[in-house]
Amino acid sequence: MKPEYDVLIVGSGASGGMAAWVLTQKGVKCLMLDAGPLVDFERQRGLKHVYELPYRGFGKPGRFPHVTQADEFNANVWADEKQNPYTYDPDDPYYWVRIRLVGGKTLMWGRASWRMSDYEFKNKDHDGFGDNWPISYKDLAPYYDRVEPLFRVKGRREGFPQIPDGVYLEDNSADSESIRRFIASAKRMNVPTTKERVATGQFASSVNLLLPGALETGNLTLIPHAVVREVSTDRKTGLANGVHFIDRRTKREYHARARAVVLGASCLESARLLLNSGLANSSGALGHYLFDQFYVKNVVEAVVPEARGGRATRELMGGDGYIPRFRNLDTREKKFLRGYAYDFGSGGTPHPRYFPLYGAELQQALADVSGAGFGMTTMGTVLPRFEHLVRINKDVKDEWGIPVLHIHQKYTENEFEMAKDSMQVAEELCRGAGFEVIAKHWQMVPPGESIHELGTCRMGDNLKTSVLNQFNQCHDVKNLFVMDGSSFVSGGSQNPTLTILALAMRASEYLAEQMRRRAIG
Amino acid sequence: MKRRRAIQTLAGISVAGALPLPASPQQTSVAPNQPTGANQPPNETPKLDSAVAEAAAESVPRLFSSAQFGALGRLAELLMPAAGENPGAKEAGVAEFLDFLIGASPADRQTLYREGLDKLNVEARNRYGKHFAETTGTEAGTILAPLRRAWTDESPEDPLARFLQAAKQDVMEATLNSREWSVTRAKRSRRAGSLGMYWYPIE
Ligand SMILES: Cc1cc2nc3c(=O)[nH]c(=O)nc-3n(C[C@H](O)[C@H](O)[C@H](O)COP(=O)(O)OP(=O)(O)OC[C@H]3O[C@@H](n4cnc5c(N)ncnc54)[C@H](O)[C@@H]3O)c2cc1C
Repeated sequence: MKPEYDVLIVGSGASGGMAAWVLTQKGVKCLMLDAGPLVDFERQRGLKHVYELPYRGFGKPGRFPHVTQADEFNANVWADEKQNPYTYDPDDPYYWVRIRLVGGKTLMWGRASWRMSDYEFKNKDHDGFGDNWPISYKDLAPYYDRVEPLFRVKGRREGFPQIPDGVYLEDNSADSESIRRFIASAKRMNVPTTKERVATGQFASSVNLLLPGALETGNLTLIPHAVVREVSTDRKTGLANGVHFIDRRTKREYHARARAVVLGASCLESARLLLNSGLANSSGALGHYLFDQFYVKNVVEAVVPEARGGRATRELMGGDGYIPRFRNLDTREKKFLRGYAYDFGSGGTPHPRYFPLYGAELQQALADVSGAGFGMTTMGTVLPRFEHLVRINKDVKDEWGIPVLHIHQKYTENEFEMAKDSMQVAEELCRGAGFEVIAKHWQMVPPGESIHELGTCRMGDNLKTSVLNQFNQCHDVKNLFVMDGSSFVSGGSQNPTLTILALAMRASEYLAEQMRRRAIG
Repeated sequence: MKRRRAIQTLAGISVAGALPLPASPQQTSVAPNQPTGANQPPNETPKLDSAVAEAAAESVPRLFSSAQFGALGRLAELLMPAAGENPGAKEAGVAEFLDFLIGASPADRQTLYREGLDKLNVEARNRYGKHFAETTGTEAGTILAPLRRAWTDESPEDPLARFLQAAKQDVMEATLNSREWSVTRAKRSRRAGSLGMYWYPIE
């Protein structure tokens, strides 16, 4: 008989990494399975000239139809779309962006780290739509307080209730003149601004911040190349007793045993695992309420006139910032619920597509605006809806014979109206700062492309409408936990990973305590 | 490259040859940094300089007919002409590269290009009685008028306009990412703009 572990963790990204970090330090013996290989950063990365790449940086055509973030330098990082297919209705494409490596998407994430607030946790109280979370901000605040120092989040405390302040490496950097002008314009329009809040360091990943500490305890066994197919249960008790997995390279089948199971395979993969296991769905809510954030990339593209003609000095140009949600806080918009945020950045050269020119004239125009660009991107709240869902498509299997997901999500009027509003406001903000707006639009990227997929195993107090309780524990299977973004009841315009980490920390401490008390395992 | 060659010379490895041999027990007793004499087999694995095929050989166009290829060459030259020291699309072998890239692309991309290039030739014949490849800049300018329309986020209905937008982007990128562009820039600036962090296949 092979050892039985206390807790088996599926996935080594943000959520799985945090579960391992917490549990192992409490003396819990963990087995972590990840579908991907370990990365050897010394051997598996190296500098190359773009012209040395076989496709001159364009990448192999058609290799990643749904990963707009893929380029020829990083192509080998993303999960192969042919080995890992999924389906959707052709009219409603979904861009599912995955990384199957130890560390998951935290190997590549942008590290933007914002707290959510009771505008999200108690959104139904605020505007009547959807459901509240079973927790409120104050339940999560102590965990945010511990995650931020661990991820070395840099930021500036502002006192904005919609993005509560955290424990930051204080960002006191000076702003360039163009940023100062933009902030002044925002102030005149009563629009708040702040510094970006980001985890610092070249990497702020599970592989450097969470897994080393967990391994050091001696309580973690990490197995790469382990594609988990199904959670297994004890026939008598109905409790989870391990998982079936397949070696990625050889397709050899295994079964591993544990007293409790934590899923952290990323939002949609965890839902897929539960659906394929036929578990945790007495509510009928499993797979439903899929949402994300919508992005309007470069909602406006502007030029700072004083920086034209080679005058984009460091004093004038450069730097970035953030506008937190400002709609529907104390007032009520007629056309949409909730709100959106922006990232803004100064410097850089606007894309050639914005110039109705070609040849030498285009080159001259680009030289003229070199470094003089100012851009904004909208990140908007998406309403969770029962009819947006994932289900198993039995007709299609992945490389390992595991049935795949059919994904159905689209944006609706509320998101469209918000996107339009964000374009108008962005334009006014730029004009107010004296910038020339050279392009504007409100076309959102397809659902999924923001890489902030959430929901499908939502938490709640009502067993009839939710899959998990407030500690990410399955209502139906008490020793089965889902700790990634699939537990979200709703989201805001904030990027979700800091909240995923805080929830995983909270749930893991609860699990450890339950095991200590023998309530589980 | 120069640095690498210097390291190889120091290690006593002839750049022109010397495949690494499996080490015998005696050889492993030699300290790795010890210079290898004439009678001693090398203990370090050599890193050989190599070049990309494009630097040494003509690529053979496969996808486009000669009329299409001629139109593409002219279009590329018009979209990204050489300027001062900077090479243009012609010097960067962009038409040859795009013949390869589009040839490796999904069918809809191939159709967009093929039909777009045919349309350029048809327009040139109807308006000026010649191939697009032979048009002057002014003549070509009337055919490329869709590129002078203001940007919108909608993809244009007109297939020629769609093709020209795609070509504008592809030609610029293929030029800026070319070896010729990189070499010219390197002469002027010590910052190697074309360098990026490449992830090798991860087993
Ligand atoms: C380019 C990019 C930029 C981003 N920027 C930001 C940002 O700025 N801010 C932010 O908040 N978020 C950002 N994100 C999102 C962030 O990375 C994710 O929210 C976060 O990593 C999710 O953590 P997770 O644990 O749910 O999933 P992941 O980190 O993806 O980890 C899941 C792990 O599970 C493994 N796995 C999957 N299926 C199986 C299976 N069947 N068996 C075994 N193992 C399996 C995978 O190999 C993977 O290692 C970004 C993501 C990307 C890719």
